[in-house]
Amino acid sequence: MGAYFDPLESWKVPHFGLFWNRIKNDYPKVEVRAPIPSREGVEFEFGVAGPQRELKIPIRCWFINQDDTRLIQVQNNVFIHNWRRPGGSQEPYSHYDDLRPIFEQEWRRLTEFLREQSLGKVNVLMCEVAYINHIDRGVGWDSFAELPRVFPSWSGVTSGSFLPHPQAVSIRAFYTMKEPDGLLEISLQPALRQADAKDIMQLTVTGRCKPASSDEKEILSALDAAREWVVRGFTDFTSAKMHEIWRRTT
Amino acid sequence: MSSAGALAIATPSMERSTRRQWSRVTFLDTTPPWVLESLTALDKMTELGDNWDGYGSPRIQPGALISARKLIASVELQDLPAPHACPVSGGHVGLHWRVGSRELELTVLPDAQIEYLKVLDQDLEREDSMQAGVLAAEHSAELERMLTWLIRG
Repeated sequence: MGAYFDPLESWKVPHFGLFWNRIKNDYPKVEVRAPIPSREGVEFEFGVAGPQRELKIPIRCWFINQDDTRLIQVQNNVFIHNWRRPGGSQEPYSHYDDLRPIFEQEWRRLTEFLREQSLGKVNVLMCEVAYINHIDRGVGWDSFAELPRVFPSWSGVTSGSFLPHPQAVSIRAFYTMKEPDGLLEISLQPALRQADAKDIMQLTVTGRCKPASSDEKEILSALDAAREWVVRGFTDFTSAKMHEIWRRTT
Repeated sequence: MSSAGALAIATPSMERSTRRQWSRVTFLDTTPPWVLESLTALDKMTELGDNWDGYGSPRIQPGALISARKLIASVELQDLPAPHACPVSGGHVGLHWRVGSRELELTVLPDAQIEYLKVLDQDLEREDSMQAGVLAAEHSAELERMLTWLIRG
């Protein structure tokens, strides 16, 4: 789950290190990544900057916990907290109710840091909750011809008989959220899981909405609303047969 | 609110949200076409039975196929051309690239080891025209170096 906000103009590269120092006990690993682009693209002034001009280098930092299950992504307009199940583990999934307090705590650490460093107040534009599900080949489907059994909205029916069954299918659908205003994105991508080289379909359901204000309470409320859409959207998008299979296997 | 308005709310971008995720998967709809082609070629190898080559070779070993799939999924070089994927006697998997005068031949074994043969120069009379060796299971950095050499020299 995450929050997107207006760029913090005073945020500079050393602030990543200062913030990491604050959370390093919980997130001892760090990686520097390319930034998540904004609608306007990534602003990078290196090529045109003269020697007297201060560089604005767009980067994103990943702060990862010791057992590689939790990640905080920070850039000057983004804060995201991710959870993932340890590779090869059968450990039960963490639920939203478990992860929400962690997000709350880490968000508070960020906003306190911003206040202490006089980096300005965040103006949150959007909150986001994403749920990722791997649907393994062999669990409810064996080929993309069987996709309608998993996703009722995909019929697989063609006008004639020329086309064979698809070798792979990728779907990206958007739904307008009401109460609060926002957008639900459902993305289906054929993929190969690197840990075991298995064929999977990755279903990603992402709810995004604008909080009523940038107060922590409103941000959490927006996350709750987005999560509600994610859960109900996932259920609606997938078939009753798959729900039955998942009930048996989890 | 209209749909367009809702889309505007979904800033900062319309990129697939999966790009912001912490994923250990290779998406087959965004990788170069050769990845899907190579995986399809590997799938076809599972149909080969024992003695597929007429010389008593066992069928392609599942371990070799899994290792080859992992190898293909791990390569992140966009401009790599498609390899020729073929079964190899002994139940192994072969991947062969040729770029200009450079060639790289990989033989993936069931224990995840990879034998390689680099052809540096087509003048095979020269002693230093070829290099051969074995990569261990944890080979990604060395493999990436070889593939980078293949496409950039």
